[in-house]
Order: sequence, then structure tokens, then C-alpha cells
Amino acid sequence: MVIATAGCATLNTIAPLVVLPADGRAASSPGNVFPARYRAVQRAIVTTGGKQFTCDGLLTVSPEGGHHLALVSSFGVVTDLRIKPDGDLELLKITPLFPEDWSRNIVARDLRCLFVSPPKLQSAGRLADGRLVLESAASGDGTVARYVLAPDGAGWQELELTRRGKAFYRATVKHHRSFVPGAAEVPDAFDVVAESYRLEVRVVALTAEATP
Amino acid sequence: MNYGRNMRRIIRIILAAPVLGITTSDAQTNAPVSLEQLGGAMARAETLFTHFVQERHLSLFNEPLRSEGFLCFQKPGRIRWETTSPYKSILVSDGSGVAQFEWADGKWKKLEIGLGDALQNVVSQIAGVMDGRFAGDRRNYSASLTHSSEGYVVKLVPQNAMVRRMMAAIEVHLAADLKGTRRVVLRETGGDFTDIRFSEQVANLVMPPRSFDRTAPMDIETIRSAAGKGP
Repeated sequence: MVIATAGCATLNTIAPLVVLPADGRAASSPGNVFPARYRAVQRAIVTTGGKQFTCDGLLTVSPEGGHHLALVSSFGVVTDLRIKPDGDLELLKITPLFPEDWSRNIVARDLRCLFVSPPKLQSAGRLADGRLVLESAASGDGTVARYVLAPDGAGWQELELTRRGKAFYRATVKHHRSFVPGAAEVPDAFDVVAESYRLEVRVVALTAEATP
Repeated sequence: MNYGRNMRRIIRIILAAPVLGITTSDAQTNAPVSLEQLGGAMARAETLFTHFVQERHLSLFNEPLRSEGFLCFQKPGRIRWETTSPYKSILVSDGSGVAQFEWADGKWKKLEIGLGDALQNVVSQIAGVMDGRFAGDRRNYSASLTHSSEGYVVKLVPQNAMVRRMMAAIEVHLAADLKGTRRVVLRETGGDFTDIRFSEQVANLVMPPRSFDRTAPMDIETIRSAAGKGP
């Protein structure tokens, strides 16, 4: 919906990270910072073709159900999909407002990048500012995910997707927040720049749920 | 198929629906008043301020997506739909244009909204309903009016088959004295529905300046105070 009605979208230019050789510091793949089982409400602003659109996200996560996300705009449900625990994508609802391939290629990718635990990573080096860079093995289409971690290796701060050396997606964690007093902070605001759109996502509510 | 044009047609109707029904046709009633009388009674309010709680019930989720906020209206055609929880957002029309603001990083941010013409059209239709012109346009919906101990319910069913692919019906629940809308239920095809309940309604208040300003709208607490609902 948001993109269909926006007309032609201009392509964003994403400069790839300049990764320097590793300096010997050890880093391990960032673990899952979100609770194992939770429900979150998100607010998103999508910018494409110079125009902005808003939508709400309702996300439920559980070990047995995976990541289930519904996007709801002022015009109704946009899409409803699930990334199963084995990583497969299941489209649960396709609406006239949103073409199926956008759900499959855009929404699912954002969900995987921002809320699903990173895959097994290996050291790729460091940035000039000292932050560590880990990267995934190349996927079937040659995509490599590079995660930028704080100098102490805790949590990821940026994520870049590249293919044949060209960056086409960058997500940045803007903010962390604890939704329950005393509980660990989790990322609650992200900025994404992708080929044809920008995305600002805020987690506006998050409730950890007990194991049934 | 003109995808864009059809899309806009759907959007115009669907976006209007959560706030109130839009237009009616082929009125059927078992109630002691007609749709026209109902519209006339509602038309007496020059301004309106009301709190709302909106719940989107999605069939694949156990709990609804809940939000709340305030709806402000002033004749002729000024509308403000402000969400205050779980996030802050304002959709406002001054009657000649529409604007949207989002609260982020501690400040209001005005969006470069897409579909501005469609949004303005929607807001204009909403304003028409708030004006009480309930039965003015007899093209888009068939309508039935029922009466119970709790008040009147107008049920609107889209005439357009494409719209019915998404939206089965809209129910507008009115107060017994016809002076307010208590609840609107938007029933989507497939079982999902949006339930909006209105409370704390105040009619004919004096709206503070810039309540409907598209550049820097007055803060909602000032409007609440003007309505006698402030903290």
C-alpha cells in the first residue's frame, strides 16, 4: 500500500562499511537480546518516493511459533506473516493493499534483520572507530550480513547487507530501553536505509510473556 | 486494471470508516426515527470533543492492537484525530488540507504525507458525517437502522464489490438521545474487526486557537482543558 501509491521511488545510495583488518580482539555472535517469548507493538514511518506513510506493527514471538508480525495501516491490515522457528517464511494474510512480493522481500527482510537473532557470524575486522565487525557466510544469492558491534563486543549497533561488494541495506540501532523495571534494555528504535525506502521503527510497547 | 485509482477508492472509504460511517443509501429502518432525522439531530453540534479507545481485533492474534486518543471536530470540516497511546500521532485537517505529525525523539515531526489528496477526501467525508449529513450521499452504502435499549445502530454495507472484498460492514452505535456516537465497529471480510469506543464527549465547546492548525497544532491538553476534561 505505502509504496504502491507513492509513485516511482528513488534509489538510496548506501556507502559500504570500510572494514579494517582485525586487531586480535575476540568477538562472538551477538545473542538474542529480546525475551524468548514476548508481544510488542511497533510504530513505523516509511519514506519512499519522498512521501511518508505510517503503520502499526503487532509482533508476537515464541520459541514454538517463531516471529509473527501483522502490519496495520490506517487503511486496514497490510500484511500478516510469520518467520517460523526454522527460518522459513509463512505468509498468513495477503491483502489487496500490499503485493505479496513486498511482504516476502521487504517486510520479512526487515523483520529478520531487526528482530530475529543474528546467524552464526565470524570476525571480519574492525572499523576505524574501533568497533568490531562480524559477518555471516554468503547466502545463496551472495548476500553477506555484516554486524557492527560496540568495541566491547556487546550487542549489535549496525547491520549492513552487501551483495558482490555493494551495500544495499543498512539498519542502525538508535536507542535502547527497558520495558520492565530492572529488566535488561532492548533495542527500541531503528533506522533503516534500503534500496528504495527508509524505515523508522519504534517499539512502543513490549510485554514479556511467561511460558504456557 | 487501474491499480492506483482503485487503491485510492478503497483507501478513501476504509480510512473514513474507523471514525464514522460515511454515506448511506437505500435506508431501511425498524426504528422510530429515520436516518434523516438522525442526521438532523447530530447536525446540531458545531464542535465536538471526544476520547476514543480503538481496538483492532486480528483473527490470528489473541490480543487486540489497542490505541487511544482524542477526536476533535469543528464545522465546517475541521477534524483532528490524535492518538496518545501507545504512541503519539496527529492527523489534522483545517478544512482545506490535511497534515500528519508523529512524536519522536522528544518532539513533533511533521510528515511529508503521501496520498494527501485521498486523506483530504477522507477527512472531508468524515466531516460530512460529523455535520450530520448521514443520508446525503446514496451511492456507496446500503444502510439499515435498528433500535435497542442501548440506542440506535446504523449498519452500513458497501455497495461496491471490490470494497466488500475487504470490508463487510460498518456499525455506528449512537447514543439514545442521538447526540453522540458511542461506538463504531468496522467489520472486515475474513473476521478481523476494529472496535472504536467513544467517551467523554463534549459538544459545542469553544475550540482553542490552532486546534486544527496544519503547521503547529495546539497541544491536546489545552483542548482537553477547554472541554473541561483536563487533568
